[in-house]
Amino acid sequence: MKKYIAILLAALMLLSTACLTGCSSSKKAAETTTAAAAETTTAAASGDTTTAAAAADTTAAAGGAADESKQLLQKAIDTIMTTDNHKMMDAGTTFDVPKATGNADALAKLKDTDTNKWHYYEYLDWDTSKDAQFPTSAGDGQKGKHVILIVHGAHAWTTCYQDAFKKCCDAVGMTCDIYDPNWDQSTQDGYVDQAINEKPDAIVVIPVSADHASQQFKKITDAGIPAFCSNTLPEADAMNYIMAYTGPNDWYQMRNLADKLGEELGGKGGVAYITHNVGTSPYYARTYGPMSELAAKYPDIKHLDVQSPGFEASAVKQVVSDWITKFGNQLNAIVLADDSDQAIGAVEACKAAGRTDIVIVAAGISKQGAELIQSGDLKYASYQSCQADAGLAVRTVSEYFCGEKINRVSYIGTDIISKDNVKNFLPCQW
Amino acid sequence: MMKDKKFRFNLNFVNTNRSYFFLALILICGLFMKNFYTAYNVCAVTGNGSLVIWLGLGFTICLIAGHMDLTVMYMSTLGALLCLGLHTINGIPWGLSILLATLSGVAVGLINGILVTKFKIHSFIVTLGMQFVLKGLMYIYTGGAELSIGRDYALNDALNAKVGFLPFSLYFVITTAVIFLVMVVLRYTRFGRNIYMVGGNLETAWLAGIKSNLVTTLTFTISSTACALGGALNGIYSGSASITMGEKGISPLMIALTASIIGGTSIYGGKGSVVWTWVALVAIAFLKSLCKKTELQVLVIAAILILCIFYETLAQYRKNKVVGTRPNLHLEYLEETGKKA
Repeated sequence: MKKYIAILLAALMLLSTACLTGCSSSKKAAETTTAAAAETTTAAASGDTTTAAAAADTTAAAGGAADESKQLLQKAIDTIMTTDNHKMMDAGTTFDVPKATGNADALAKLKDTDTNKWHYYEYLDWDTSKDAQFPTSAGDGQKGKHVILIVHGAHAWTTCYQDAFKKCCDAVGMTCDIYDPNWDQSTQDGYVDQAINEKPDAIVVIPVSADHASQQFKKITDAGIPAFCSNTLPEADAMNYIMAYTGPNDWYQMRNLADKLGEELGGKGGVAYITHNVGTSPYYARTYGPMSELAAKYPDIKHLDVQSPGFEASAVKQVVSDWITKFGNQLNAIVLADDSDQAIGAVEACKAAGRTDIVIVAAGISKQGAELIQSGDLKYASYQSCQADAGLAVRTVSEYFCGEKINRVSYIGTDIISKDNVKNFLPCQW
Repeated sequence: MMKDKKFRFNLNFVNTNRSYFFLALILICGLFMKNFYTAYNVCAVTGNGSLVIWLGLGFTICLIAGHMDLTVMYMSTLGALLCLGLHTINGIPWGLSILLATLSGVAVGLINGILVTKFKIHSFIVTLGMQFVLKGLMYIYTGGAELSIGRDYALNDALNAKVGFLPFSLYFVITTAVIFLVMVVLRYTRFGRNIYMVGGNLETAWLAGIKSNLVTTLTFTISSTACALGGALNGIYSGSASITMGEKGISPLMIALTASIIGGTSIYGGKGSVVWTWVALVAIAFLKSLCKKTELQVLVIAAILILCIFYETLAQYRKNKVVGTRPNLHLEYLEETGKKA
């Protein structure tokens, strides 16, 4: 008992001493900063020319640093290219958000094929009056700044993204640390806390879960650190705590893909859908985006089934085989959320059943997807540049540090890949 | 005249207090790490590690009673989903939502206990099956969707906030208070001693007049209740909950099991302490801050676990070797005859 108490007391003492030390250092640093600021203000108010001149020198230095940073940024924008020879740090695009026809609860009651139902999923339509107090940029440029990137999980795509992010950071003079929670929400929460503890100049997060994003970004913004969201669309409410979102417009890409599919089918036929991970933003975008687009423009097209077998080729093959057995000639097209393993499974199932007439389209673009397009097994794929995704994030963060006005929402460019133009998108990025 | 005493390194002392040494090792390593000892880091790390402490509490109690409760993780997830769902979807106040979520734990614990005691099904099988039942229930309740607190940040902020001058969140303080309460029950009440006796030797406990079925059922009830309550509070603390919580990354169930063993709880029952498990889990929480890469964390935890199991096996081997013998017979002879050793 005595031993137990002694050990506990020792541990508590160690912790308390260490924490108090940590607290007092932070307090001292804060006091020093406040005192310095007060001194500058007092000096300026009393007309102390020496201090005012020093302040002017500081401002000039900041302006000089920003100019240098802007030059670095411009050089990076002009020179860095993706592996498929497109600009990596190209400017993003924005879309006007149409007026919603009702609130979220009312729209949720509509049919899945109704475009209006998906308004709050498709558009980041948030109440800007509830925006948090965002930290103001010092306007001294991005050179020398430290950024922490928290991705969602290990995947070939993520590796490509991380490499591109680092490359762009190096080019513009920023340093970065990258944390990978391996698709675990609680691990990502832990990394968010660790990142805040490191006190970087900015934090970029690819959220594991769109619904949980609000809490994560709120923590970062409450800590006074600029928070940026990349790639995965967060829930609209999270935008109140996000400086800027950059990434693909999944809904727009998939609607374009659906238009091409509709043309290919001649406005008739049956379509089935293989989804992304249930509950994620691509789940909704890559299933209900094309579904509602086809329903709006090609009302004669029937929507046969929606399944979520995951990303294993064998599981997808089984599902598609079952569809072919169940629907027979009614099945004319398949929309896939992924052009790699899912596409392989779907193509194998169609070939095994002798149904090479089924049109397969997918969200892309991976090496396997490109090969399938070249062979003609995959008809169309949407183009979503992983490296440009990272590049746009770095560009937006840099522009923020340079004191420039940034869009709250920016999307990367997109295209539709077919056999005719696939060579323009080679070699694939991941 | 003072006898010269040779200093002997007491490995047994280290083994008995290994969870404390583990924590001390992590804290010492933290001295060499930048930003380890900041109030924010300590608060965040302990807060994020609190859910596993609840799971460890439930798992350890059952282990002491000689059983295994594999439902701890899914019970906490169900508690979180129920609490968030009842509040955000049904508009029930937080207090009542937490209570109802906790009561679900009571119900599940009772069912587990009855199946183990009355139907004589092994606890491993019962709780393994119950896991899947709970998962199915969660899918039916949520439809696979994730639930969150929405914009209702009041209680979330309160649980995340530091308590007075201490660098710990309210959530962690509540968790620790419950751990010490259970420790007091286990150590200083008849019911607590009965749990140890039932775990140590069920037949002897029954012969001694202990209502072993009642004790076992109540143990499972306490385990599930604690996990449900911990899950409900964690759902509010973290702001959201999903069915797949803990399925990716290092499984919280495995961490709870590992921490129970590292802490010194015997898998055969009859020996253990929720405080030891708490110390081991606090050490693991700080380890996550020390080793940022998940793979490194797993390696370190595995290394510590292997060391513990190795020592336990060796100690058991040595003990078995001298069963029925008097290894210190020579020393006893020297003492009795007054000759020097």
